[in-house]
Amino acid sequence: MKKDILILGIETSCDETAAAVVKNGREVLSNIIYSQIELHKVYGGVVPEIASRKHIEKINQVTSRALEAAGVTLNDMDAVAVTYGPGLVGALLVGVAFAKSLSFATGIPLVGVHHIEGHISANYIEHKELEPPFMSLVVSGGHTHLVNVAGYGKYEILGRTRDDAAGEAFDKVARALGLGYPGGPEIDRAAREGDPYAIEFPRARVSGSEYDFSFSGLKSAVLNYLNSAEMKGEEIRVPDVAASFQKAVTDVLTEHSIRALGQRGEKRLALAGGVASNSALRASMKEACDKEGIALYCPSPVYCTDNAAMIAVCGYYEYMNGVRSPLTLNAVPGLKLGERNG
Amino acid sequence: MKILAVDSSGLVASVAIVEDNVMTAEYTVNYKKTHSQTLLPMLDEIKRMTELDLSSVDAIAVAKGPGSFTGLRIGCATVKGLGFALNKPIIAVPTADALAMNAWGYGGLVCPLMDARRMQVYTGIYSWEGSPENARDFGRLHIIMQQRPMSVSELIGKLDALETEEKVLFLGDGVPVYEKEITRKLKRSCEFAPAHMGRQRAGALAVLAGIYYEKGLTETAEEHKPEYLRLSQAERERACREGCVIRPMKEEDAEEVSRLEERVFSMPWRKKDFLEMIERDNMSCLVAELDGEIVGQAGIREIAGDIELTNVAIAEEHRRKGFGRKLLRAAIEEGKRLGGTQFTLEVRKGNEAAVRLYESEGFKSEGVRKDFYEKPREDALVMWLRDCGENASGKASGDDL
Repeated sequence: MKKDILILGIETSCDETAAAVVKNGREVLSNIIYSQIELHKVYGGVVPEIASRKHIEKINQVTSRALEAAGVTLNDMDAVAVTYGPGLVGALLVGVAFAKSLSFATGIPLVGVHHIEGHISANYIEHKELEPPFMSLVVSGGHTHLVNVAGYGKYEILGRTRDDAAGEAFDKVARALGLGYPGGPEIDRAAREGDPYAIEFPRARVSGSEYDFSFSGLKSAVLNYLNSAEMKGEEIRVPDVAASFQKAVTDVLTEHSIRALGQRGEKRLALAGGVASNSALRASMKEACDKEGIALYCPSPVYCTDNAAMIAVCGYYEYMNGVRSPLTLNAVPGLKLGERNG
Repeated sequence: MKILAVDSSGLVASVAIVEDNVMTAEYTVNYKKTHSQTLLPMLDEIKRMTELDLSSVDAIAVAKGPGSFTGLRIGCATVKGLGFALNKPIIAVPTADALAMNAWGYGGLVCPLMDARRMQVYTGIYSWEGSPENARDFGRLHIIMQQRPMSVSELIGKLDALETEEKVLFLGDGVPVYEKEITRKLKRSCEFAPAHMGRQRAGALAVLAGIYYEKGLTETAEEHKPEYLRLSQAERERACREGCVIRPMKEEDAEEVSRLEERVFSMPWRKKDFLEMIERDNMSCLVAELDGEIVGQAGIREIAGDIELTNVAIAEEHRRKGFGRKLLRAAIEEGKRLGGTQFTLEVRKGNEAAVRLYESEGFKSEGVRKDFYEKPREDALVMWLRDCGENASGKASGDDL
């Protein structure tokens, strides 16, 4: 009988301290997340130093709870997988130093994992039939990537944002509209009451690369609209602005993804990242994919936002590919997708 | 007893193993690579070199802070991982105490300096006149001033005010930054430590940690966190903007208040003293709370219409934010409620910031109590705020109208 492979995943790249145990790369035995979001809300965004301090306070508790909930011990693990980039350097360092220390003390192999590859891998948890090759659209607070997943651990970036990430644009527009932080869910909520065709915001094209994105122009257009409406003394309907802005974002994301799928002859698309749980994006993608006969995959919201289960899943495939990180593993805040930097 | 020690609080990465009275390994690197790249490989190296069985270690020691925030966290996360995986206790030693340990037996004052930027240092003042029998000493290490952030000029003033003829030995990464200024301004004679004892060394940390271990001063890996002695910049700015909340002390606060008291005063009140304050009708204690943490406290006692401010303390990292003033004003209001018309307090003569605060709130110095304070010995100024009861403050009572 084939032995089960157990991976402990650790994730501290931004404002969630998380640990999880995953069996054979697909079965989540535990998934513990301590979210710091309430701490950062008063500052209107994640404060790196506060995030790092909180990770230190929570890392042991989160890890021991993940092991307990899975009914296993540290020594049962076949590898410790940890996010080493991209992300906030101080935050990443907590997870990296802690994971290296666990590996050093127990002799269990260490596997450094790319945060975005983790997000993509979250799709494997609930879609057991999904295997590469497929296309993935990663949208989160810090990332917007259109990726061709050629194999486990093999990624080809087709398009990326040239400026703001989609989630960042959501945060900034939400702030301008007086909605709370984080902006994604707030805009999603406000937009439900609004008319997505009320205001015509621009859909930016990026010259030279047909799959790249740009959201800073859209963000400025929204801010300009708000300013000029205010100057003219016109009433601003927040739900309409939210819905129109959201539509401008989802239109571009959908259009680029569908075009890439068509040109590559690929029939499967997996959404990933925090913004992947945005209801308008899901609806727009679903409609377009149904029309084109494309199978759409998307993780449940708990696996869309930052979590360690996705890191353990990704770490499993890296481990099976023979990846072992040395004790010199460092946090790499600007780590590129598909890059190996251990 | 076998102690594995880690210090990454400053520019130096250092690890050591000390077993009973023998240091089996020490590995110290002061090079431009980050601690994240060096610390674990260094631990791995000394483990292999000495064929160390990690499960034979009794405790893991770490420099708990202050220091570089990131450096502290790398060391902290590392020992938290070790403690977790090996199920061993953590010994968290103040960084400046461990640095002072480098100069064991020095016949004068020892003053570690760590550059904290913005013209500040993390520092402390130590001597080797301690005794193992004294509960507040660590072997022969005697703490004259506990580690804290302060400006270099304030530190120089503090050292010169000490009533002793002794020389001072400075060490730490703040030395190259402030050596000139110190040599120029310090009246007392001083010298600067040579290279082999000038920076953090895990060997010294391990030896001091051994004394902590014998005193039972350990914590679990889960409990352990760094002591930064400073808030993040975002928190500092927010605290300046929003300030703290002043409220009466509750019974469940007494523990936290007594810990704050210990951090601030050389002769602290104990938890039971604070509990007593809640019981007594003529006493009252207020606390300053910021985000659920008690950052300051002020106690008052009414005796025949006079209100004595028994102790006013603000945590080191929350000074210069107006919290002390807010607390003082609230304490005066509370004193008036208890029927007080005039207020008095004692303050260390050298505590200029506090004296200035009291003066700006109307207190005047009316006398000196010679050698009132110990550790270090210092005179107390006796200050009074007179004629500030309801009637004296100019407010007419209802009967007069």
